[in-house]
Amino acid sequence: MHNTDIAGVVMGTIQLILPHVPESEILGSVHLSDLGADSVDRVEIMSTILQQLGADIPLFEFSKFKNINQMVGFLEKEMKG
Amino acid sequence: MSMQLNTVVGIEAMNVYCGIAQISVEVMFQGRGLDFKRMNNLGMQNRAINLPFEDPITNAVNAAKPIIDNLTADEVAQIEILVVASESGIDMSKSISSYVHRHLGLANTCRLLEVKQACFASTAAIQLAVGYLASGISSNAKVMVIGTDVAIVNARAEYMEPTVGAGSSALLLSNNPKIAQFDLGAFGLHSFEVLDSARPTAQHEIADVDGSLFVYLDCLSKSFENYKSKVTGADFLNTFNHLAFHTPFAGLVKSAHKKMLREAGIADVALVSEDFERRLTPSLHYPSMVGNLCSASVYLALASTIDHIHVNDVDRVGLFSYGSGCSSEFFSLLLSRDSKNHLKPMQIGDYLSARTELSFAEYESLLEENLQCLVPVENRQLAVSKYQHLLDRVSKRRKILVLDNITDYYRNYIWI
Repeated sequence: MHNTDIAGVVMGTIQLILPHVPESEILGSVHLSDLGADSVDRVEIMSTILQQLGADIPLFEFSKFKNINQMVGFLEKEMKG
Repeated sequence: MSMQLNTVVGIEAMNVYCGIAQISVEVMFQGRGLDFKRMNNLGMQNRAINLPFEDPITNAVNAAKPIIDNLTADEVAQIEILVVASESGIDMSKSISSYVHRHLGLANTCRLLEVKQACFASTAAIQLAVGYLASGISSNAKVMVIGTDVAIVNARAEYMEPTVGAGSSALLLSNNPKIAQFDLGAFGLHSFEVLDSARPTAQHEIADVDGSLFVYLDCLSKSFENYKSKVTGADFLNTFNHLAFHTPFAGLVKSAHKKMLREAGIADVALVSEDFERRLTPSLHYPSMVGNLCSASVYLALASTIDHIHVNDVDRVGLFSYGSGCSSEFFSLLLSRDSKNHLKPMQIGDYLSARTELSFAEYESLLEENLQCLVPVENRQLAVSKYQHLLDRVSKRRKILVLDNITDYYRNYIWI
């Protein structure tokens, strides 16, 4: 999958699960919790992203990232491999 | 002596004890100034609060005593293993089990053991006990497995504080499975080392909130995958009439169910919702009134299921047990139409409803003393009478064991 597609899936999923958050606030430099996502929302976002990408990656890997950019970068690397 | 394999093994009796006090989760949110938008996703109404004279030992005894009281002296003497699972240890050497053995009045012909693997330890002990009973090396033996814990959280735990419960589950296992029979050999495991939550001292917990929830979900998928590899034809949607999971908070169970269905190829919102209501909601009534009961949590969920379903003939229930650190198991039990009748005398729902509701100020006034619960001290005197006004507000309770004092490191208990 192309890198821009992965970023698109991530951003699109965040918008889907957090419809009240303006698109302009979903920046690569923020953490999901900065957007008001609680732990259940974060689970939902990550599960949906992995399903959309068809990726078999443990969810636990996604607990380490400080912001959305780091998460996208990790996914891009994993999907390439 | 002759040995014969025993393929009929299960839960002869079970009970839970979730204290005599509770606080509304809404009151907790209000008192701590937490964001109410996050309350809905927790799916919880109340959390159990121990009073300062309660500890892991009293919780354990208060769960198991009603089971013992229903046995004959000969049956009590058949209990030859007592295991207490806990992440609330009170001594580096002396086990919780030793005190529990004394206060339950069990026979001297009994093995005593305490085990630890966070919230998974009860299940690990139960499965080892099931293997022991099935082996037939001691015909007519019974095993008591108790999961018992206390809460050691305060405002520092932020959104975790309203989710942590306190209490105990007690299961009497034998070859007379009146409540539930184990599907022998039907289990799936998934374990690995990770630091998602821990209790590094006797007074505080650390938790990586995302890490803990994500590992739970990973373990559910992987342990079920392992279950499927052992049980021909098993599938998540059709094999189990009911499901009961370790429940740190009800909202996580909902996410877990959705994830499992998604992995089974089902994403239709109405179908997911109907399946959740039918197979998982019965398991959540009691946990949502208690909070995370640690090692006892999945058995509180099982009790909730049994008390809230109707079984026509034989129903299979799929259970998922998870403990941080981490170790997990997916396994299954068979319930009969009589399961509910055998659990009924414990009146679990009645005793949960009868607990006194604490105001936030009352909760805060208990916190400092409650946080001393696991701190090792040479001497300590508890004052039960100081809390008489709370005891008087409990609308229905059994006689309970309480901690009276610690003298020269020895814990002395009384019945009130």
